[in-house]
Amino acid sequence: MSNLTKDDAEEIARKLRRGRPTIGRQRFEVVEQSRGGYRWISISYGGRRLARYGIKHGSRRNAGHDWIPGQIHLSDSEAYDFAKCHLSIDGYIDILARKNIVAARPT
Amino acid sequence: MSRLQNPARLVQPEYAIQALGQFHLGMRYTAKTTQREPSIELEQSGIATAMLATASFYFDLQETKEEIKVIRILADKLMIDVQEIGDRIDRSASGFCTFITSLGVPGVSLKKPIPVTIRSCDDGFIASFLDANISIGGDTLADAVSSLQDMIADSFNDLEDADDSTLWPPMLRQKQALLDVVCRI
Repeated sequence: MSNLTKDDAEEIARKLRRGRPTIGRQRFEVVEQSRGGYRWISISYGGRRLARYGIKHGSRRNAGHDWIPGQIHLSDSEAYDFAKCHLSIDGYIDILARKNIVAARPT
Repeated sequence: MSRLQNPARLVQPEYAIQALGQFHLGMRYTAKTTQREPSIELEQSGIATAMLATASFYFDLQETKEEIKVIRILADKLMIDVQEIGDRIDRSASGFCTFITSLGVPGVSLKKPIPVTIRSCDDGFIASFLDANISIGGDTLADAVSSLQDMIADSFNDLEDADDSTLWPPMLRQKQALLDVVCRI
């Protein structure tokens, strides 16, 4: 099972906003904006913009949000693990670094 | 039949107990069920075997009816499962590619039609502009495409003037893909 729900999408945003990586790594910055029928989540890391995704307003809590994994540069199962806390903030940074998306320790 | 030979073992069904109870009372014997089965009246002579056979018949009939009920329930469940699997196959097989020629947002326009991939998901559709890695979902196909148009315009407005050094590679690629196809009017 790896389908992402609205709850999972909210949890990912919450985790990115509050999560503290290990010392020496920077925190994610999350900016939320409501526009149209969506809440847009913009994610930055190390002062540089990394990703952006939309959460549907008014949808059921278990409504599918399967477009989100690709938007945050994760596979379906990685995104599911991230939402369910099986993947930590550090783990997420490691995956991004392994994919050459970010530097593990941005200057 | 053998289970009916010993009355002590006849805990259920109720009709079997009633049949044997009346057999012990003598004179006239009636085998009845409590499940709306027809009553059968028998004369005293040779009654035991007939009584037991009748009770056994109803006992087996009752068991068969219960089994049929279970089979019907399972068959209904199976029908629902098959229907659901069919729906899932239909949905998963219904991805397609099309083009959008406008964004429907004031101030920005498309330089050329852009390819959009649309696929269905559990409870709606996901529209993607793959070159820019932009995807969004909607309850209906029109909803998904309209949201994608908004997101493309919004991302363009957001990234157009952003310094390249403030973007990680995926966002830089998104910016370049958007600058290729979107312009101000």
